[in-house]
Amino acid sequence: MLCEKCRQHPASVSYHQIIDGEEKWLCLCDGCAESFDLSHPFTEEFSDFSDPKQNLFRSRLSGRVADEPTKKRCPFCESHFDEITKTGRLGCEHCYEVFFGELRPTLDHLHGAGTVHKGKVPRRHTESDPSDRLMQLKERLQQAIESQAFEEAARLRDLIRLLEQASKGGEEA
Amino acid sequence: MSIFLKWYEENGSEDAVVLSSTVSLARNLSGYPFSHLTNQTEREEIIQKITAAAARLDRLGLSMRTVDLQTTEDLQRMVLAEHRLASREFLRRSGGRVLLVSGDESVCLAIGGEDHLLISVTAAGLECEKTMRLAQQIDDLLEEQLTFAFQDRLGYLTASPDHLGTGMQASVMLHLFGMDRLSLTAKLANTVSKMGMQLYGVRAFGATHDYQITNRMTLGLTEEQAAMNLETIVRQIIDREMAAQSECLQGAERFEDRLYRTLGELQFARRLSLEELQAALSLLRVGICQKRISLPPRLLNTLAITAGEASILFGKGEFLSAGGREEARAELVRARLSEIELLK
Ligand SMILES: [Zn+2]
Ligand SMILES: [Zn+2]
Repeated sequence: MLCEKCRQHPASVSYHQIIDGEEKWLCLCDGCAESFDLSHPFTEEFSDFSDPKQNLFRSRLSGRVADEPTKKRCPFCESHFDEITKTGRLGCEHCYEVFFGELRPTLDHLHGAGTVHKGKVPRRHTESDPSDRLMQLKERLQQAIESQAFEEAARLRDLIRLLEQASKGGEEA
Repeated sequence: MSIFLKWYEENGSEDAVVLSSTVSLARNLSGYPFSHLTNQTEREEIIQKITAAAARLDRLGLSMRTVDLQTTEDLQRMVLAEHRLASREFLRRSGGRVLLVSGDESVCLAIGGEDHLLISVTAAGLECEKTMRLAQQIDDLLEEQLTFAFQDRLGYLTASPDHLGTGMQASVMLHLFGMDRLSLTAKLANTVSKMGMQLYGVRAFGATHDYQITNRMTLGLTEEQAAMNLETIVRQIIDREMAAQSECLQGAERFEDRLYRTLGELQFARRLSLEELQAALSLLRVGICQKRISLPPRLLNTLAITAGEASILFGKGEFLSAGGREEARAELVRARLSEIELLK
């Protein structure tokens, strides 16, 4: 995306502003950002998850989708991919699997290529599909051993053992 | 009126520059479409399930009051916004939206917004880690009863792909008077944006020198890392702000005089517009930072949050003209100031 002020350099900074109740989203290059007066009409009322980055997501997607319309629908919520690009929101949790291929470039752009979740995992989740998670953990264990990260490998091995026990217990219950 | 001390009535750490810290977690119930595709039955079920699970929060000593936006008048909505309990975007729509608010207003569950659930925890001062931990505890308790949409690779699944991963947003409100005066905030916004954070000018606390910095990174790092990264950056910003203030005030012989005149105005004025109050609070905050005046920062937070136009009207319980609101505001400010031990 090009800087919206000079239209010459690639935009590196994004600004969100609300002026008289109207939302504006500005992408600027480094140079223009420095001279941009941020203090004045530049207001954002609240921390909110309906945030500006989503607009970025929307504009990026709509550019791409115009040339490759797809007829695929999510079997759960019946969303089309072009509906997703229009609203900037996915229809349901399953859309992430159904449209993973289509979403991938955007996800890579938003979060960095190949980035995976490192935060909290709900306890319930490990209970709900243990085999899936076990396989992933075993893969990670293999990688850890190959890269000689023995501490992590030991941690993973313990975790795998725990989960295997838990899933056996779960079957009896 | 509630017996609880509100979060803004407590002092926090670093609270001369930092107004407050907030951590929010976005969650969606598995088995339902995301909010914008739900029908009325589904919306009611979602509200019912989350509200039922929220009863567990009493284990954390939190008793939650329910605010159903369907039956909430506009004025009340504006009060909720002034108290920063939900975003204006959330408050704009009423159907299928419910807020659960703790007695001290520090914990808020917003149900039916962009994501089914947004858990927010706020504290005075720089408390990213503390608020993050409480948000996690709340999430743990709710999760005993609810199944949230989650995938190993992508983490918590949110309606917008921006929040995938932790679904967590950590924010800190800052008063950057000195950096504003020296026109350093644009450069700062630029710098922090390269670290996955965003800096906004804010109007919620009124004065033009208030900013919010938010950590937007949700995928590929833990909640702890996100909170700590933000705290680290904020500490650096505090140092820069203190330096900028010193530079601004160099040779400003009349600063202390202005400071005490401002305090006198608040103590004795019979009418105060919101703008006047906000400008005064901003100046007093600098005075506290520079140790030229001794006032508890919580007083400034309390006034900034409770003296908004809607809160004044709501507190009076009757319609007031602009002039009447200014009188009521002056009265409120005088009452709050008389409660504290005023300086030597
Ligand atoms: Zn430019
Ligand atoms: Zn779907």
